[in-house]
Amino acid sequence: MFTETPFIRRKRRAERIAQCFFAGMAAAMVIPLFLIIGYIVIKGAPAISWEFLTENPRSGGAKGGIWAAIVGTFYIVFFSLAVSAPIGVLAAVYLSEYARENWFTRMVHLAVVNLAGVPSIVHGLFGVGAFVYFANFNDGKKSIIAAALTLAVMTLPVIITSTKEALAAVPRQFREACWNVGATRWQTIWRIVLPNSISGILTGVILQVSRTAGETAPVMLTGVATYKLLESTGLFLYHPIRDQCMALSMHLYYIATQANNVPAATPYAIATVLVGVVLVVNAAAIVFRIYLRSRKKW
Amino acid sequence: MNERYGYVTTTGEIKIHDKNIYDPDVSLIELRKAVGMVFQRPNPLPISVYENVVFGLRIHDDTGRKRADYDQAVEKALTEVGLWEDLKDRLDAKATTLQLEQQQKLCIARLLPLKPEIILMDEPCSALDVNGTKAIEELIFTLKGRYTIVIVTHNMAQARRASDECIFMLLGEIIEHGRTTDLFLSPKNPKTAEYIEGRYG
Repeated sequence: MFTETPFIRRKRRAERIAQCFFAGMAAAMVIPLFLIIGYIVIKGAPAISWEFLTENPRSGGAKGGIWAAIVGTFYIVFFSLAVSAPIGVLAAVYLSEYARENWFTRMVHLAVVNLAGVPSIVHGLFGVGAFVYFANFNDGKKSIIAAALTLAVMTLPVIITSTKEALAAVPRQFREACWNVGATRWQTIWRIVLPNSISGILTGVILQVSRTAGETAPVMLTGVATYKLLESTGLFLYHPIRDQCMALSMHLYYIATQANNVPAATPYAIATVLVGVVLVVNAAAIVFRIYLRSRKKW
Repeated sequence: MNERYGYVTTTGEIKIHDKNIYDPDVSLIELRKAVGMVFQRPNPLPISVYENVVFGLRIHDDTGRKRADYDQAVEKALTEVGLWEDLKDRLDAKATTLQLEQQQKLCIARLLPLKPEIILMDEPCSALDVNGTKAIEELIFTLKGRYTIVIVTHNMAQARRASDECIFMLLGEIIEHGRTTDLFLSPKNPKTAEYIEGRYG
């Protein structure tokens, strides 16, 4: 009774093969990550030093460090998220907590989906027209604020989508329990919905840091110069409206393809710093999320 | 609340003290304050027991209550539902970690500080076992003098046990309305009689 027949055995073998195959595909995801990071770090590590991180470039980028580019990247990321995070989160709260299904919300949804699908170079061109020339922050010249706003437009749909998902993960019965004792929509959001979704919202926002830091095409058109040194070493290094800045992504492109007499290790060192910045931010996001998750239970 | 989900529309009228609650000048917030609701599954908020009980007060507070007022409200409400002895040392515990029976009692206690006129109960025992059901039914009897309790149930035995007055509804229509003892012992409408006997359901 209940013993295995050859037919069952064949089925079990097929099952094992399928499982191994799928597991192999999943593992294949990991390999490129280690190859990329390993390759870059091994080739770039010798060129990284304290001076490389904290000095201005010299001789057209061939010598010196990348301090100006690191600072520029931070400026762009900071200003862009300072604009897109509040707008995106608030818009998502409206869409998922207040709005009913009608032509307006369908239109917003359509805009979000399509905006997310626009190639980044097109966003860059839009940024030139809208922020460099039309908004005219800097007499028709590129500026940090124009680049940041361009990236903000680019990251907005993603932040809206991830925030909506985080809000939708809060069980409906919590909201009903609030309405039930006469809470307004806003009281429900402020006291119950946001505290229970903040970790998911923040994860979505912080992950956009890496995307913002890595973009080259849009910022090249709207606010990043190939060579813009930092004169002072004070706190406010670039002027966000009057200045263009350097950025790690653009600097990498320039050093790897345009500059002369650059040591072979330098582009890899820049790439290592860029990947390092992104990984540190992502890791921080994950740790933060774990911390917040551990505090909420239901 | 259901109209929020779009596919539900409501017609007709519901009167409380001769006031139709669908009148345009009725504030949903005031209405919900006066009419509490207990759901099929306990739905405590994911905050402490204490905060669950004072949630309604905090939401409707425009005078700046003191901590002592809240403490008092919590003790009073939890005593009324019979949870105070069990939970007085665990007021900071997360409400979602309690047993289901305690959660359901807490959901009732959460309504009391607002001094509702009516408490609606939608099959309040359907997620509970025999002992839990007994506890909630006993609670209904201790509360009945102070609040009007409207309970929906599909359980004939419970309808008989836990009510003074009974309305038999079938497919959205009221079939019969009377004192519970009369309705169960001598139903006037044959549909009621057949339902009580269990011929359909």
